[in-house]
Amino acid sequence: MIRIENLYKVYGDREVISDFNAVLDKGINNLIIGASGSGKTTITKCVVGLTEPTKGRVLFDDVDFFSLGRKDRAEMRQLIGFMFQGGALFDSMSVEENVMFALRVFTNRSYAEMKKRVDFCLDRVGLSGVNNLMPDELSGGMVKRVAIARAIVMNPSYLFCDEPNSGLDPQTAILIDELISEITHEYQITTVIITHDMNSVMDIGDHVIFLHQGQKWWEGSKKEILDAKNEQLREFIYASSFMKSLKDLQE
Amino acid sequence: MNFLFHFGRYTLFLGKVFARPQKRKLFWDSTFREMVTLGLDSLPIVAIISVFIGAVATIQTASNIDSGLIPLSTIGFATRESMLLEFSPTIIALILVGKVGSSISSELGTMRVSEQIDAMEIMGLNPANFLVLPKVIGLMIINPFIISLSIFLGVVGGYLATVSTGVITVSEYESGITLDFYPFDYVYAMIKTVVFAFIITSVPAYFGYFVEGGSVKVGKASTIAVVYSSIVILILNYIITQLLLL
Ligand SMILES: Nc1ncnc2c1ncn2[C@@H]1O[C@H](COP(=O)(O)OP(=O)(O)O)[C@@H](O)[C@H]1O
Ligand SMILES: [Mg+2]
Repeated sequence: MIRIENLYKVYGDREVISDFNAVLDKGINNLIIGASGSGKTTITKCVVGLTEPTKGRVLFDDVDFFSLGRKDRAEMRQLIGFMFQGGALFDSMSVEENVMFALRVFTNRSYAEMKKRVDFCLDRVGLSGVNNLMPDELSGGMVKRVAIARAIVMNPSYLFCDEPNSGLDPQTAILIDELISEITHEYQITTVIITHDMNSVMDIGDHVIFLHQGQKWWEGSKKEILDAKNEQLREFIYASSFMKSLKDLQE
Repeated sequence: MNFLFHFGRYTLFLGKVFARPQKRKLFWDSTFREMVTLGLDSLPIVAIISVFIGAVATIQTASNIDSGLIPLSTIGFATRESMLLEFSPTIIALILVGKVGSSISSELGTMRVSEQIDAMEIMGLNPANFLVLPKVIGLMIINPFIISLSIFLGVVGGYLATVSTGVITVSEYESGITLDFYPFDYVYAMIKTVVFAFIITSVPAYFGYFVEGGSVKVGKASTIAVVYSSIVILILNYIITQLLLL
């Protein structure tokens, strides 16, 4: 479980995140949704300390992350898996080396043991036999899969995915969403997924937080979202013609 | 203001770079790899330039000495001294800034803008230490060999010039290059070499590491890195020379 309390982030004189509070439970898909520029990436980066929040507290299962020293923070981070918007694969390393990286740096396992774990993770994300490909030889969907494999290789307790299905075709997008969802339930991970895709929301949105201009405007499940009264949220949901026609059908 | 900002952040950056590596074996593995890459990368250009400069310096000195009052051994002596004291340690360093430095800067800059550095940080690794320390230590170890080779090849270049043009005899050239040799000159050259290796790697690494924005900024950072590193090398060259040779 992750608890975020009174989180603020100011860039220059712009308040990008204002008084953000949330409790993110484990074993479910916690989605943070909102338009481009609403502050989704900034919130996740603050939560994991990639950017220092201006104010606020973040508790990882009751451990106050920002009160930790440098060494404890580094240790805490080994429990966090992070999937970047663009994949952020190490482009000088093969797929196998990418996924193996954290194992090589932080554990003392033999190559055979590490390889076994890497192959397991690659298999889990539906990629086998691509160990020796380089990142620039991968398709968009494969990059995302490798990024997921790399994020789960250390058995993380917390998993952050920044727009995991952006830039993918709709079919692949759904596969990636479902893959993350399965992994979350299977290993009881506290998962935070950032998206602006309503398909993802309706597909895997166990717990949905709607962000508007750096503030939380609505919170609920995918079942409740279509009936939400919040105007900004309705605008966001019904921006796509598909959702609009769905609403018309409903009414 | 700008200079103070960079200086302060560079100092803090060095603090992160010179932390204890997460795993000693991985550190030495990548240091060794950097030594090989940085060394092999720069060898061809260093070799070619050194031979030609040595040859040209020799012909130039020879063409200025025709009075008969100055002994002809001065020619070889001048070639050796200019390669040893200045050309190989300093000018080659400036050339390596353009070759090695700019590639370090764009490598790290690309890793920064594509969030690969963030990805390492989030794993709990110290990316500055992991990525930069092997390059700094690697070049500091390998550069004395590169520069020694450059000095040697410069002298060989002079030899080839005397042989092919016949301005002086081989034995006159040989007596020149062994004339009045002070081992301390070599020590002075190697001190410069190690210090400059530190600058050639750490300054461009700093500019690449802190790139903000996209790939255009990576290119800009690399240009700025080359300018700053060159200036720092020239200033340090003056300071070290004044301290050691006066
Ligand atoms: N490093 C930064 N410096 C200044 N402003 C930033 C920085 N990062 C993000 N912002 C601003 O914060 C806002 C939220 O950005 P972001 O969190 O990336 O949005 P999202 O991920 O929801 O698209 C944007 O208006 C963006 O311009
Ligand atoms: Mg974003």
